[in-house]
Amino acid sequence: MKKLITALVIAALLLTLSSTSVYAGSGGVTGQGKGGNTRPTVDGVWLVETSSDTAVTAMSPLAEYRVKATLGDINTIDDIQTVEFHIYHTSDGSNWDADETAIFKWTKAGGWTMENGSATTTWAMGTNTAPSVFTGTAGDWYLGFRPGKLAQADATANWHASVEVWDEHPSQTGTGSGGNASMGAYNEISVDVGTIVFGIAAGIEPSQTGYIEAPASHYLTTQVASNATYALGSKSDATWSDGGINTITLTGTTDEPPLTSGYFSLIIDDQQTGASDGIPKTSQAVTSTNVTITGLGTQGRTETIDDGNEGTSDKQFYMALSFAVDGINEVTYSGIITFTVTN
Amino acid sequence: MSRLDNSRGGLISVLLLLFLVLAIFSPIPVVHAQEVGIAMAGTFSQQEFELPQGTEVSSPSVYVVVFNHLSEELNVQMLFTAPFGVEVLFDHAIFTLPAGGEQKVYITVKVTEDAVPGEYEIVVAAEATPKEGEGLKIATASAQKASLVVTGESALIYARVVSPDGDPIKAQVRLFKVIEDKLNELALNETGILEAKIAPGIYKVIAYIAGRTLAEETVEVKAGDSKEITLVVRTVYFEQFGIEPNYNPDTELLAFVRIVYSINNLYQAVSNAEVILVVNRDDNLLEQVSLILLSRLDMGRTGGSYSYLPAEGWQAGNYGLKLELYIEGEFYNDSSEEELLVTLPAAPLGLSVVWWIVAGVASIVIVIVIILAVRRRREEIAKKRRVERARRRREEQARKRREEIAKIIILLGKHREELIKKGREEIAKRRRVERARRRREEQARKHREEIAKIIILLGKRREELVKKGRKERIRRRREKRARRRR
Repeated sequence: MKKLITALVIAALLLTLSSTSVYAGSGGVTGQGKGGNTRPTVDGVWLVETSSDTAVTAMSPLAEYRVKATLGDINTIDDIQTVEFHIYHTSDGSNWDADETAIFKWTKAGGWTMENGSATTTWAMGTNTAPSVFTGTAGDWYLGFRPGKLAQADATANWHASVEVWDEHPSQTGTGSGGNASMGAYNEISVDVGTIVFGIAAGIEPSQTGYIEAPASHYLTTQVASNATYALGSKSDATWSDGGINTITLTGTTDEPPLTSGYFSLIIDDQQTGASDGIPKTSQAVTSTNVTITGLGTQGRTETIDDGNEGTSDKQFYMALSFAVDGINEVTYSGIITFTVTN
Repeated sequence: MSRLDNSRGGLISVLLLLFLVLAIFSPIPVVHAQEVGIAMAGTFSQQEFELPQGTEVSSPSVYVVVFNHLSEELNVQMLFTAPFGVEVLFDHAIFTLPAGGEQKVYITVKVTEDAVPGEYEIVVAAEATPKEGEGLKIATASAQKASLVVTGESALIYARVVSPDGDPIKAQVRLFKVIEDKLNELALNETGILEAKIAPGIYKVIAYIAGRTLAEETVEVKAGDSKEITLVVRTVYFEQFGIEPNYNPDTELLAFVRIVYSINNLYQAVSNAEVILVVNRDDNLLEQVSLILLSRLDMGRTGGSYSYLPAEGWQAGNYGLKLELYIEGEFYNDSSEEELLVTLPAAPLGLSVVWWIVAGVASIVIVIVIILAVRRRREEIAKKRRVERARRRREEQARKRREEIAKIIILLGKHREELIKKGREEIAKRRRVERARRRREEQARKHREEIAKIIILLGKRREELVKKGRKERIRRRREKRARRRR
């Protein structure tokens, strides 16, 4: 029994000794240890200007900004293999979506890429910077980017950046997020109008009203892309002129024909009365100041879907031109009709 | 084209033919148009201006950008719509955009004293001007609108940025109007001082250095107020702080924790910066360890690492590790706290009763040995501490002795100087006495000489008198004898 106890004590002592062999030294302990490849860390994420580290609080589509990410790894940042940057609205997504989530990536082997896949986009990379020295335990990565034109502008929610970093072990990641910036509104408008003919090709009789006869669709199309709610309006020059003494004046009313000599009326609507007749359904006068076209006061932004292309919101307009009974000379008048998109 | 000829009959067919020909060349209602397009981005539509009469807002953050996405150049004119008394100024009002070009236009909103208080909407638009030519032209315009509240009341706000010591700091200061949790920038200054006339409301002032938000304050300003705001910024901070547990390769037990940190100094070099590791176990302070003491902490990033093992060894519990930064002995900043859960090794499962007994006995023995080891370690630590204290005492005593010796040397020096001074005075005094004595002796000698001369003279006189007396006596005797003879 004594031998057994002695053996047990010796065994226990051996066990104890082996488990308490720690390594003391001045200024911190030294000795061998198994560190277990600590995860890389994301120590800070900011949205900053291109020329400085000044924080951005308001962004604008198609202008360049940067995401600054301070990353760390106790085993030195040379361990870091991949860094993924997301610039997102409200909540971070895992797929590219031009109006909600843009994804960029840095890999040690391949450098910087924009992860939009096959989707056409106006998001773009700017000037990027990765650390030049990887021997330290912390470093700064700068992603230069230009928000796409449809990156949504939302008065109630902002854009942020998130960063995920991987080291040599794919399961070892660090994450972090930061930045808080609003997105400014963006709108663009174009009108595809080859040749428009009011009335018949021969013209419009005084006291009569002509409609869009060519193109055969009887309308013209505005193509709008906007990242925020918008309104579409129109206006016309107050007078049209032949470049000489002959002028005609816009009534700013829906009179057909205008009651005053030498006046003309311009009427617009986004619907027609019947199938393919080109006659504006609801008469709305075009005036010399921009007036929102009825029914187009609050249009939703142009949305995109996951991995989808950026598109436009198209609107058709039907117009009518009406001359007064008299005071209209037989000349060619010039004038400008302006379509305005307003955020 | 307008047909004014109302004639009817046989001429109709001729006229129709004529009209068709005319329509090909220049009929009024035919529009020869082209694809035109313009785009606008920017921050103007986000603005909710709230300005007192007689003020303006002109911030780098209030702008629009006009784009030409076409393949030919575009003439652009900036226009605005605003209420009476309100002016909208563009730094670029008319410009030409090349194909694919863009122009950033900064906007100033100026509310004159003539503006009537109220709520308004202001619109800025970039209008593409069609090229000259005949016929009806289609133009496009991009616009943004913002809200404007003109107030008749105003207040003043004065913000400055200082260090914890109260010294002015050159920082970027930005003033925002808070409207329904949304920040509307009103003013910006890079000098660390910002002053503005504002409408009553809630404002946020933020101080930045190198793009990092270092201090901010939200205040409510009422009409007539003159609000002063002092933003205290800490320009040195822990940018990184991480811990890495290291395990004994044989026992898989926690051996030590490697601590890695970096300090970022944004503003200027500071003296006497010390990093102290503060360790808690189960929310109770365990110990504080000085990791680094720098006589000078330069601007930029300074990193360090440290391998930590508690003085009493690892115990089961939840450890919290945090770094504190002291500058000139005063607390300045701290890091976030890293947590480390330390557990004791679990008992092995699925063993026989004998092994349980063996394990139990072994555990008891291990516990005893651990206790002994811990006690020994504590004793060693205590001994080390005693030795350390003794060494410190000795050093302290040596230092005091050195100080005392230095004091004595100083005193001796002073005393020596005093003695030298006294000696010099004594010598001078003695010399003076000697000179006086010599003068007295000289005078005495002269007196004696004079006396001797006088004595000699007196002696000569006496001799002369004696001679004279003798001669007299001789003469008298001769006379007496003569008389006798006579």
